[in-house]
Formats: sequence, structure tokens, C-alpha cells
Amino acid sequence: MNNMVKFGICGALILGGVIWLAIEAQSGDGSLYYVKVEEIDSLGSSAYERRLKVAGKVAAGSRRYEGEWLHFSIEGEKGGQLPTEFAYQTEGVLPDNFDDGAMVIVEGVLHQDPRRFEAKQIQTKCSSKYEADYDQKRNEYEASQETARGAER
Amino acid sequence: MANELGEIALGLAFVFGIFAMLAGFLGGALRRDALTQSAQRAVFVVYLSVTFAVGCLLTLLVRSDFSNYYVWKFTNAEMALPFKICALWGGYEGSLLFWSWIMTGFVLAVVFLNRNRHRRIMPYAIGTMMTVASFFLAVNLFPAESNPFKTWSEVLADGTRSGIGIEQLLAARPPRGLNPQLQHWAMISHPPILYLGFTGFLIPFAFAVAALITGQLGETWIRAVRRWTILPWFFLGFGLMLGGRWAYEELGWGGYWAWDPVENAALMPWFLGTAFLHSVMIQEKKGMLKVWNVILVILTFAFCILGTGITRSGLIQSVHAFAESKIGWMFLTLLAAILIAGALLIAWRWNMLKAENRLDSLVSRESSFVFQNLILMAATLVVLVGTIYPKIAEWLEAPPLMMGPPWFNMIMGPVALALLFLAGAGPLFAWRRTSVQSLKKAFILPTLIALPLGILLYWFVRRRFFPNASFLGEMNGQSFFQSELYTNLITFGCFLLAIWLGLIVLREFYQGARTRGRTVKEPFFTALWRLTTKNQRRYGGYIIHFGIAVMMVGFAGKAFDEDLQRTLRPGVEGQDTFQLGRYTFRAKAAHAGTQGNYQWNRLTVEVLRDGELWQTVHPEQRLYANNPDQPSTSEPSIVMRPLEDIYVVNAGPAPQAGGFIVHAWINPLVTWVWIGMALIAFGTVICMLPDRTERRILERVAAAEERLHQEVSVGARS
Repeated sequence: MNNMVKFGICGALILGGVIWLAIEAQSGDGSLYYVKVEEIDSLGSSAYERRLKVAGKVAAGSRRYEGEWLHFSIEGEKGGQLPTEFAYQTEGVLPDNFDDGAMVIVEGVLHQDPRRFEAKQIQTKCSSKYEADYDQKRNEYEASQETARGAER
Repeated sequence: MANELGEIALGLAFVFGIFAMLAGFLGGALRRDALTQSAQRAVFVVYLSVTFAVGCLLTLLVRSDFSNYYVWKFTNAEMALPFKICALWGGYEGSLLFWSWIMTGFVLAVVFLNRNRHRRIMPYAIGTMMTVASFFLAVNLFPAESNPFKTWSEVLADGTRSGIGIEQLLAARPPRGLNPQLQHWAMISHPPILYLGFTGFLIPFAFAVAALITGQLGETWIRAVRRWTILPWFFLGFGLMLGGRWAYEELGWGGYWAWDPVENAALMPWFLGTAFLHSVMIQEKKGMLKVWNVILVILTFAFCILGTGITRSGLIQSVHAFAESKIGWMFLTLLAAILIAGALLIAWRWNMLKAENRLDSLVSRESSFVFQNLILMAATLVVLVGTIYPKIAEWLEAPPLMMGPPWFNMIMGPVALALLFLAGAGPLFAWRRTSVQSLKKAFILPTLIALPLGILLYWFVRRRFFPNASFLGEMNGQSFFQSELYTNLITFGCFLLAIWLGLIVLREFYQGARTRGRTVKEPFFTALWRLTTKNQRRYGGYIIHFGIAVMMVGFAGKAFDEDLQRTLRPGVEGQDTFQLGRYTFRAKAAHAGTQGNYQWNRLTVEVLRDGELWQTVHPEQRLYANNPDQPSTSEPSIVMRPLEDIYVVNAGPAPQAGGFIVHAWINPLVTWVWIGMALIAFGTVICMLPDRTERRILERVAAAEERLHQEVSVGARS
């Protein structure tokens, strides 16, 4: 057999092996669904079979501490509520800017009966995100000015 | 004033950058030395202008001139001077300027060192480098969102509220200062070193493009770029590891690598650069893989740009990604231009890139390099797909899946094993083909020693950290790849092959030094030193391989980590301790105070080993009232030991429950990751030592080129 053919076969085996591994690895804990609160229903029953990462906003007044558990709700921009529980003393650390209205990404599993999300991890924002967008900063600034002027008046 | 001067300097740099680009390309096309010299001088002006702009921004930062929007965003008056200086690259606009500064510095160094060499390809190399540098300067200069010299009055003038004084602004919203998590020694050094890597790959890329344009695809460009590839390759890898060290010491999650898109963006060009550094040897020795090398160089630089593009375009919705902006799309356009131009140039020169030899056997040194290249390409592909999969799923209208760290770990385990094997096997194979007899001779001894040592190391680590767990584990309905057995096999394989590779490297040094000592009558250690410094590429490479082996042992140790989080009430009997492995963590006291711009609460935690007091640590939580983006940071206490790190985080008071939340980790063998990193740095220094043989070859090539250049110039004039 020609050497180039042999190399071609070996190359195909390496690439094929890695692709096969990639497909195998994406089942179970290898991958997770990343959805907004309002999109969970579109996943159907598979939402209960795989870990989820859900983005949403902490509903105002929903936070309640019970023993080792923190209960709260996440709401989507376009509606939808997700009752969430988090073992804040044993499972993970609550971010300090975790507050009513905070934008959060929670990672964990969805349970049925009653339908609730068990968060294993809660994130708000990361430090390598050096800054929010420039316009947003400007708007915030102008809004604070508006408030200051209102107070002066 | 510094705002205006900085902006003018940037504008000047851009204009001269465009001039250098045009003069470079025209000088090459028309073979006019005067034009090329103009391009060289323009590069000098560009560098001076960017340096001046950097000086202006530094002045604004150091003087806390909050009329500058960037200074307001990333510093405050209380910050220590070193951190004010670091704010230069602490934010997006400044980091882009800093990036341009490093890039133009590299270009100037290349132009200066090659001023009398490679006269045919240098004009095009200058043209290519300045095309990219001008792009970066334009991105810094034109979109308002990336201009570091934007003042508050400019920010407000394009809104509707001009006329608000800076004093009123600052009173309403005081400057927040650099993100507290970025105020760390590794973060001071990590971005500049990473940028040295990213920008440095421009040089080999520019030489490859110039070689393709001129058709000078022999050994000239390969020799010219080799050192310029090792340097950015090292900086990229070292920068990645410093980022890992920062994450480990500052983020308080017990780990150093999370397969985040930002990390992956730097890892991919590092993989490709590693592949190129190896395959280039095949071209030097055998005149093979010419197309492959050109493709690798172009792809390496393209992936440097891709990283910037995917993290800034909003294409990937990572929590680590930068704010979505049109800048990202500008980078992705540059990426498309690089790939299209590269593909067209390769197609044009296809005939000149034909190999001079063919691979003779599957079992040879060059074959091992080819397989290593294939595996690294596959690894790059895996990381790329894993990183951008959410977007692929969106395009395919597939379920919104994203790949988590377990996915990457499951695939990268076997990839790492294969690479460790090839790193060890490569030097054992002969060039062209290896006989079964010599293969046996080379393999048997290291394998026979490595096997018991590997088993012993695995047994020792397992006994120390997971004494009661079974090697086979339990399947629990999982697939084989998610089972404990798979993890255990990969970990064992990693220990075994790392030891095997280490032994082979040591044997290479020993045999080389012994042979040299006998031949030239030198004492062993003198022979060892001279052997290394006279064949620095080969033996520097071996040291790097040894460093990789050591580092892999550290990575494999992560499979044995354990952690536990509990609420502890300091000094309250029965509620102040928890047990993790052989360690007991006992909260003795809590203290609080204020320092600089933060409040702190500190726990005194006693760590008992097997019931005996072993260490006392003081994990701290810091609260930054002025920084709504990052209101607190944790300062974990890490006790680093060769066999394990004890990592204790004070996560602050437990809401409503009273007491403090304490999270502790036992992280086995992590220290070996940093030791491996130091060895890789040492090996790279050895590789970069002046090489007299190489210099003689380069001088010979330069002289031949000069003769040819003179002949062509005389011919053109007559």
C-alpha cells in the first residue's frame, strides 16, 4: 500500500476518533442546555434529562431563606417564572451582587412535581467583562444626573 | 492637553502606518530600495507615535485626570500607582492601544534586525505587518467606543446634556477604579505577556505572506521566522498559565482552567503554533510539508484574530465575553480577509510548494511529527467547535446546547496521552524509517522503568486521596466516557506517559553528555552544559518536553480533588469545624476592618491534619462599596505543598443563618503545574540562546541574497 494512503488512513482514524469522542462526550454531563427562562418549555421533556444553564432576572421580593436553602424566582424578559432553590450554605457561593432585579445565570437541574430548578451554581457577572457597553454607561450617567437635577429642583 | 496630543499621535501613527504599508508593497513590486527604506523609516515613526500616545494615556492615568472617560472608568484617586499604570491594559480601549504598541514594537524590531537581510521578502513583510498594524490603529482611532482619549465632554456632547461640568459629574458618580479582581500580581503581568504572544505571531505570518508573494518559498523564510515563532509561542503559553494562576489565587473557585471562550481563544493559536514549531523541522530537514507549514502559520495568526473577534462580537454569549460591539465584527472581517488572501496566495504558488521528498515510513521521526500535527489540529478543531457550538446550534436550529468543561476534559484526556506518547517516541525514531530492532532497543528500557513507577505513583496518589474508592468505579447508567473508570484510566495513563517521557528526556541528556565527554575528554557536567548550549534548539526542546510532562502530572492530579462547603460559627463548640479527607477545618475567630477603598472580614481557620494542628490560615473577603460591578472579592488562603494544596475560601457571612460560609478544597499536585511552567520557560530561554551555526547559515543566505539582489538591481537599471 502506498505510504500516502497509509497516512491518509491514519489521519482519518485520528480525526474520526476525535469526532466520535466529541459526539460521545456531549451526552450526560458533557453538555448542557443554555436557555432563557421563557425558553425552557420549548425543550420539552429533555429539559429534565440534562443540566441546564438558565438566564433571567431575580424576581423582586421572591428571595426567602429556609434553613440551608435559599428560595427565589427567576423571571424572563418576555414573561415566565422559574421557582429556584439553592443550597447556599453547602453547594456554592452566592454572588454579592445577587439582589432583587439582578441578572443571573443559574446552572443546575430542573425537577418535576413540583416544578422547580435546583441551582448548583449562580453567576452574575465576570471580571474579565471589563466594562458594560459604552452607551449603557452614558445612559446610566445621564439618568443619575436627571435624578440629581430633580432633587435640586 | 494630553487627550488631544494622544489622539494626534494616534492619527499620525495611522497615517504613517498606511504610508509604510504602501511603500513596503510598492518597494517590493518595483524593486526600489529607496521606497523600502522609506517604509522602514515610517515604521520607526509609527512606533514613536504610538509610544507617545501610550505616554499620554499613562500621564492621564497617573495624574488621575478624570476628564478622560477611560481614566474615570478604570481608576480612582486612591489606587496605588502600579495599578494606575496597569489600568493602561485594564480596559478595552487602553488594551487595544497597548496591543498596537507591542505590535509596532515587534515590527520595528524585525525591521531593524533584518535591515540588511532578506531584501526580496522584507518589503512585502513590512507591507503585510503594517496592514495589520494600521487596522489595529484604525480600530483604536475611529469607532468612538474604542478611543482611549475620549473626554467626558465628548461623551456628553453626542448626547443631549452638554454643559454639565466635570465636577458635577464626578460628584454624582465617583470614579470606580480598576476591578478589584484585576488588582493582582498575575493580572498585572498576564495581559501584556498574552499580548506579546498574540501580536508576535504577526511576524511569521507576514514572512509567510511575503514568501508566497515573492515565490521565495525555500528555507529563507523558515529560518527567518523560527525564533520569531518560539518567542510568541512561549509568551502565549506563559500568559495562559499566568491567567490560570490568577484565576486560582483570586477567583476563589479552587481551579485554574474552566474552558471558557476567552481561555480557549488563546489556547487554539497556541496549539497551532506548537504544530508549526514541530513541522517546520521537517521542512528544514527534508524539504517536506511546505504547504502545510504555510497553512499553519496563516491559521495561527488567523486564530489570534478569531479569539479577539469571537469575544468582542457578541457571537459567543459567554459570561466572560466582552460587551457586544461592532468592533468584534471588524475583527471577524479582518479574519475573513486573512483567510481568503492566504488561500488565494497558496493556490497561486501551489506548484512551488511541492514537497522535495516523500514520507518513507509510518514509523519514523518525521511521521511522529506529522501525527503530532494531526492531533494538534484535531484538538484545535475540538476547542473551536466546543467554543462556538452555541452559535452552530443556533444556525442549525438545533437544541441550544453548550459544551461544558466535562466535554472538553473527556476529549482532551486521550489527546494529551497521544501527545505525551509522541513527544517521547519522536526522539526514539530515526529519520526516514526505524527498524523493529532499534525500536525495541530504544523503547524497552524506559518502558520497563516507567511502568512500575507509573503504577507506584498512581497507587500512592490514590491511596493518599481516595483510599476507599474502587478503580473500576460505578457506572450508574453513565456511558463509559463519563464513568469513573474512564477518568481513572486517563489519569493513570497520564502519570505513566509523563514518567516515560521524563525518562526518555533524561536518557537523551545522559547519553549525549556521556558520548561528548568521552569524545572531547570533558567532565560529565561540562559536557552536559556544552551539549545543551551548543545544540540549544534540540536540548531546549527536550527541557520543554520535560516541563510539559511535569505539568501533565499536575493536571492529572486534579482528578483527585475534593471540596466541601459548610457554615461555621467561630468558637461555637460543635459548629465550628468540618472534616475533609484527613484534614479538619476549625474556625477560631472572625475579624473585620477597613483598609484603603475596601472593608474586609477575615477568618482565622486552623487546619488539623490527622487530628494534629498543622497550619493556621486567614481567608479574607473584601467588600468594595464603590464598585457595583464587583462588590466583593475573596482572597483564598492557599497552603501550597508538593503533594497537595489546601485551599480555603471565606465566602462571607451566611445570610440569616449566622456564622461564615467556608469552602475548602484539597487540590493534589497543583504545584507541579507551576513547576512545569517554570521548566518550559527555562527550556525556551535555552532555545533562544544565540546559535553560532544558525547565524553563520543566515549570514551565508543573506550574502547570497545580497549578490542576487545587486545583480537584479543592476539588470533592472540597465
